[in-house]
Order: sequence, then C-alpha cells, then structure tokens
Amino acid sequence: MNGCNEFRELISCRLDGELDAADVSSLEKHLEGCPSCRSYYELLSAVLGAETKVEPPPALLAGVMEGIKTAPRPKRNVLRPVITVAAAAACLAIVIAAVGVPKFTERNDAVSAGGAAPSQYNLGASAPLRTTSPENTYPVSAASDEIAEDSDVSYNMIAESAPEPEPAPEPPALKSAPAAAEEAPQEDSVPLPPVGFDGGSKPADASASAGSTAPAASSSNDTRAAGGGAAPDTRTPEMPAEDMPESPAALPVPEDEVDEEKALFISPTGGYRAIVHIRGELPEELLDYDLIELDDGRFEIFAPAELLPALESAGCEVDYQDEESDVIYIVYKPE
Amino acid sequence: MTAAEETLIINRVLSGDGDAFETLVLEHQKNVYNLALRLTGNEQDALDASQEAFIKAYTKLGSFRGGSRFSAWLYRVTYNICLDMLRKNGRSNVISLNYTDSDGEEGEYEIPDSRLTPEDALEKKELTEAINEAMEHLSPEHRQILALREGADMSYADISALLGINEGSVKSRISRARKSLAKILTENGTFSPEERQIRERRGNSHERV
Repeated sequence: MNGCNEFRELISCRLDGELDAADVSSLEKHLEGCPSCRSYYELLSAVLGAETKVEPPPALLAGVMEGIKTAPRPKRNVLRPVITVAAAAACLAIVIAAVGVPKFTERNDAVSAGGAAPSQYNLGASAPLRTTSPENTYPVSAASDEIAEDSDVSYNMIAESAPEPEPAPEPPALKSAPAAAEEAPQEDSVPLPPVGFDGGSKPADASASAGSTAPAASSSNDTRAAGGGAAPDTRTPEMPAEDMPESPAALPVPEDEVDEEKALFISPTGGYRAIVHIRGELPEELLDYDLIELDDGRFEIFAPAELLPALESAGCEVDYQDEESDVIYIVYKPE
Repeated sequence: MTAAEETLIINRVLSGDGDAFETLVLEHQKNVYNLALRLTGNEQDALDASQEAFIKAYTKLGSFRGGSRFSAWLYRVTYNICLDMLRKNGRSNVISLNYTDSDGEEGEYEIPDSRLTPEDALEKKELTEAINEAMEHLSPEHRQILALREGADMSYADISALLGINEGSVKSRISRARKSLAKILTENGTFSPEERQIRERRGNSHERV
C-alpha cells in the first residue's frame, strides 16, 4: 500500500495534465495491477470532472467598468527591472541627447508641476526616512535624482524617443541601451523572469518613477495640448526626427560606480524568500531601501534576504520562506 | 484569447482605451471570482476582492511585464488582495500565513483503506455540493493550493512562482490535498467503499490492500 503513495501523486499530476511521458507509462503500468489506485484514479477524475466553479455575478463586470472610470489611468512603465542602472542612465542620456535641453525649458509647466507637487512615489533620497549611507543606497537613486535635478525628464519619454536614437556620443555604460531602445515599442513582449504584480516595482523602478510618473500624469494634457512632439506621454506615438537638435554632452555614468546586484533585487523564480509585514516604525536596517507607495497608504520594499534574520529578531511578521530566492518583499505600513 | 491578442488589448488599454479592459475582465472574471471565492469563503468578499483585483490590475497595468502571462499576474494580484482581506478581517487563520506546511511529512494523510468507486456517486449537482462542503474541512493550506489549481486553473509552474515554493512541493501538496479530500468524501458517504463490488467481481479471493 505504501508503494502506492507516489502513484497517488502521479495520478493527481496526470489529471492536471502535468505528468511527463515517462511517468505516464509507469503510472499506467501500475494502474493495471492495482485496483486500489485505479479506484482512486476514478474517484479523483469524478471529483475534478465535477463542475465546482460558479459563474461570477454580473455585478463584477459592472463594478469594475464603473470603478476604472474614476481610477487612475494606467501608465506604461518603461524601465523594467532588467534594465541596469547604467543602462537606465544611458537611456536618459540618449533622451537628453536626442531631445535637447530647449525641449525641457518649453516644458517648464510640466517640470515645475513635478517639482512642486511631491510625487507620491518620492520617498527617495530627499525623504527623511532615507539616510545617506553610500554603501546601501541604490546607485540608481543617486543617479536618477541627480539627473532629475537637471531636467526632471520623464522616463516615459524614453519609450517614444528611444526607437530613433540619434548618433549620440556613447557614454561608457551604454552597452544595454540599444537593446532597450529596440525593445521599447514592444515592451510587453520582452521575455522576462516572471515577476509578480508587486514584484514588478523594483527599487530601480521606483527611483526611476520618482518625480516622473506623477508629473507626467498631471502635465500630460498640458504638454500634449501644446503640441509638444516630445511630450512625456506614452500615448504620443512617435517623435518627429527633425525635432531633435544636436545632442549636448551626455551624462556619463562611470561603470564602476554601478552596483548592479544591489539594483536588481529580482529572483529567478519571481518569488521571494519571504514576505515581511511591518507596521509602525521602520527598522533601521531598511532605512536605506526605497519605499514604493501602494494605493492604500502602505509601502513595499524590496531588500536582500540577508536582512531577514535581523527583521525576524526585531519581531516582524514573516509570511513564508523560500530558500531559492535572494529577495525579501516587505509590506510596510506606517502608523 | 491568445497571448498576442491579450498583449494587443493591454496595449490598447495602456494607450487610453479604458473600454478595452472589458474584454480582459470577461476573459478572466470566472477564474478570478472562483479563486477569490475559494480563498475568502464567501460570495460578498469574493465579489469585492475580484473587483478590487481588476481595478488594481487596471491602474497598475503598466507594471505588467510580458514575461509572465497576464492571467498569472492577475491571479497573483487577486491572491494578494484576498490574503490581505482575510488579514484585515482578522481571519488570517483561514489561510495559513506561515509557511510551516507539511511538505515532506509523508503519510500524514493516509490513503483511505477502503477502495473507492465513483460508481455510487451522487447526482452531479449533489456531488458538487458534497465537494464544496468537503473543501471546507480541508486545512487552510490545502484549500489554498486547490483554489489556485482548480479555482483559477493555474499551472504548477505558476503556482510555484506565486507561492515561492518549488514545483515538486506544489505537486505533493496538491496531491495530499486531494487525498485528504478523497478521504473526507469517502467518510461522509459521497463515495462508498468498493469492497462489495470487488468481492462480487473476484469472489472472496485475496484482497491486496
């Protein structure tokens, strides 16, 4: 009977269509000689064949379609977690090179709107929660903040301007930028490790969108109305090439300043070592990591798994553990 | 709907065509709702969670990356909302939040001794009801994984990524959940032991149990 245990698992897999061919034949062989497993197979087939799903109520669709009318409109996230810090900076450099400084002064309204209204995502370098320990600060934050001071260019622009890269002087760390440029129009089809919903917002993303996402939302109409071909709005299909003046000097990002490992807290499986829930005060171990604001006043933080023991001993609630991932995902609720 | 069609629709939504989102809702609402229903355990919460999931998916659509299928991404959103809802309602015990599962503890659920046959199964509708009732007696962990597998039709790979456990653990956990379910269904008489028929078929010869 005990030998049947593993076959019960194979039966379960088979009924889910998740059994490979080799196991199928060994299972069939076993079933021939084991009435008990055959009965189990038939029973499970009957259970799984029963229609246990129910139809969703019509209120679901109606509520969703009503709800999205007032919900914030979705925006394309151009920077994906696989784009390294260097590449991100390089992309930005290309945009600046391609679009040129005068464009930004034309967009003064958008820029100042972005500067004046604190971005909902902007708990980055300027926020009191963040300390300035250079070791633990994501390099991308530093880079993007620095650039943001200069131009406050929206990263949304990258998607539109990147497909027509001007022969800009190539910064030292440009290696991934052309690839990113090619991918940009079809960003959704780029094969990536399966990242979850929350996993999608990497620290790199957060920093990138800090000060850019929100201003884009508030200013996109203005800039579009003004007929700016270089509006930071992803809905602008393309940018006329003649709008691109000669490039000024690109922003160099020395490669050796980029710690890619730190910028890319993404696990191969898309899973996390643990999900940690924190309320109240943020433990000091996490002060240097980017906070990404969620809709409901909470924040998510991605951090290396080596912080887990410290957080556990600080009494944080830990959801589950997966030894394969180097990333922990933290949901933080200030109180 | 093929992945390519879905990508087109997603792009339309991202380009400002909010109405296009309806196609995505229609395509996925059954699985989302059934997942939520099994996780939350009641229709009102399931409706609320499903709506919240779709609206959140809409607003965050830009952060969906084509690397995973849209459905897997959407189910993860739904799953997180349901867990959150249970936590807020103080019912976090409904779904075990601790990853202290019984993977590896072989034989925790005994294979039912009696042979089972679906031949005596009740009428279809009654069978469904019996299964749903039996589900409620499963451990939270088992209910959860069957919700993902059977409520949302998720593949083992997607469940593995969502729960952050390897596929082997997914397989064995699903299998144990079903063994447990089978046991409950046998014990409550939904499926009756086959002994009688076996004897009829084979006389009173050896019983290899």
